[in-house]
Amino acid sequence: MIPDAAALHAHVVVRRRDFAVDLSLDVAPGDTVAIMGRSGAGKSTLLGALAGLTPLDAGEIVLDGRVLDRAPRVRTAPMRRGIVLLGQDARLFPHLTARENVAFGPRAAGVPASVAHSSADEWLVRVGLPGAGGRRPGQLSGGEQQRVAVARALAAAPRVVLLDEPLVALDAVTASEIRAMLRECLAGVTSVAVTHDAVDAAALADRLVIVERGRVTQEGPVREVLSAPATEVAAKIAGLERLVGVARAGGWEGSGMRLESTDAASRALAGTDGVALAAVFRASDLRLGEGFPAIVSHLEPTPTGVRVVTDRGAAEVAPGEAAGLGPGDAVRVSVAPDRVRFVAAS
Amino acid sequence: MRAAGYVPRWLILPAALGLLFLLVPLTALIGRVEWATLVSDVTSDAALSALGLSLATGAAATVLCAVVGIPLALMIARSPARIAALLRALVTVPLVLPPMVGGVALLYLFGRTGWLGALGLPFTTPAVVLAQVFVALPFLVLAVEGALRSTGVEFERAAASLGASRATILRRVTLPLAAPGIVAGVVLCFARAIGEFGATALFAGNRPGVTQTMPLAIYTAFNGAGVSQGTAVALSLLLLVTAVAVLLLVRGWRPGVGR
Repeated sequence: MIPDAAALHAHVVVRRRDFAVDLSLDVAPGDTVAIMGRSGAGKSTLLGALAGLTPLDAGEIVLDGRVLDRAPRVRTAPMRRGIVLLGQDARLFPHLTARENVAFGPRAAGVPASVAHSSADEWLVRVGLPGAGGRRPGQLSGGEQQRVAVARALAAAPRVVLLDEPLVALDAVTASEIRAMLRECLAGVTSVAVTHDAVDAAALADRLVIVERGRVTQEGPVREVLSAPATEVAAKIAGLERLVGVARAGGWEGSGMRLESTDAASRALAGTDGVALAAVFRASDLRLGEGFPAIVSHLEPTPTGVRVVTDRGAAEVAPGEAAGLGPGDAVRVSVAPDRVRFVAAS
Repeated sequence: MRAAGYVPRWLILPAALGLLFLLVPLTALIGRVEWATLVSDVTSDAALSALGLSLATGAAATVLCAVVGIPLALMIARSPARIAALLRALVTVPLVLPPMVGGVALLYLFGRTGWLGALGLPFTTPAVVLAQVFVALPFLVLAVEGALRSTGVEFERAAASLGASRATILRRVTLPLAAPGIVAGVVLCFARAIGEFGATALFAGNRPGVTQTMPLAIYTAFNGAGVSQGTAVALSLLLLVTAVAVLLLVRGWRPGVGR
């Protein structure tokens, strides 16, 4: 049912009031690329441009060699692009049943109603809603609506699927189920997924692009980017602590603190003295008690313990370990060398 | 949850007063009906021809209003905010204008010396329809425009991204979603059209069987020109019953929008 996957090439330049979004994106046929970054970084502008809702100020969007948009003259209307957008809100047509919603794309393309309806029922089975065809959107839960929206999008046989945080409005359990369903249904479909959640990126995407203030700051295979974040934003997304310093005598040094790493690639990076280097590690690997002096800035309770934020990174510890600590307190911190990686810092 | 919210309780007094003010006069009207002659009054030739003319011209005016009003509502709803506000104000003018003034204006446009005088419209049945369209169109446009605007364009965008053409989007998404507003607008429009008096009287006149609609027949009856006041009351009752029947008919038709 899925057409041969398409290759997407986009160079999107859109001038906004605060800054110009200037992003290049290449998606191999059948791949999923995740776009991550802080709110307002330009992710939604990119999706809007790909969907044909936002005109380009410069650049081009090419799908399988066919130029959809090329600033300033060429523009293709949203209905002629074969690009379908799945947003946070399912936006099911409230006056149509689930089956009619899913059949909408094929019907618009001229498929006879009976054929479109029976294929819609098959799609509903694939997204985990067998027998729900006769129900109206108002009778479906948020998760079920999102499933119908996925079926509706894929039933239209799109060349590219755009996802704009489709799981963000759902509770954790529902989101996890839909994530698994999406992973299955999007296999082999060229797609671009904007998300705030590294879990979505890891589950759905082959590649990850980090966007900051309208520019790509890092891109690569998802796990590579998440394990070696090149910027502060990327580190936050990956849930890692990132301290910037320099290479010194095979290790990392920054404001009086020194870290070693057992990782071969990291040691190689630290081989040249004076090179700008960032040390990355998990907050749960920062040990309190011995090591380098640090000052506590604040404490945050977490589901499993307490996050002690210091001027030398945050430590996630058991509740007992943080007992008696408060802002301004002096502590000592260390990270085991097998828990530290070094990445080049700019 | 309190569906009632937190409205001050004493507001029920002015609210009840308002409701009474709307209903008591109608009760007084019904109280004056001479039931003995009612049947003969409402089935008199004059009454039946006025009723028939009212329903026919009202229906024609409503169709005309829908044909131009729904597209106009679409244009306003999808215009940039400032242009929409301007267009809405222009559409509202006939609504706040005394219908008499509308009748005079129509006469100056279509009258013998008017720009469109060659059409020879004044004091004909089409003139009745035109007068009704002039006063009733704003009701339809504003109701439909409100419904279109509150629905927004997100569903249309979703339909476009699924590959639907503009015509398909209009037919399968925009109009069905605006259906409650369209129905409300059509009913208001029809009710206003069959009740129209001022503009009709000036622009179309009061010729029995040609331009004498129900309101004009009632006015004529009250002035004692040939018929008794009993006839006027009976005709008023007939118009009241017609209006209530239209409302009930529409309430029975519920769009299948599950929200």
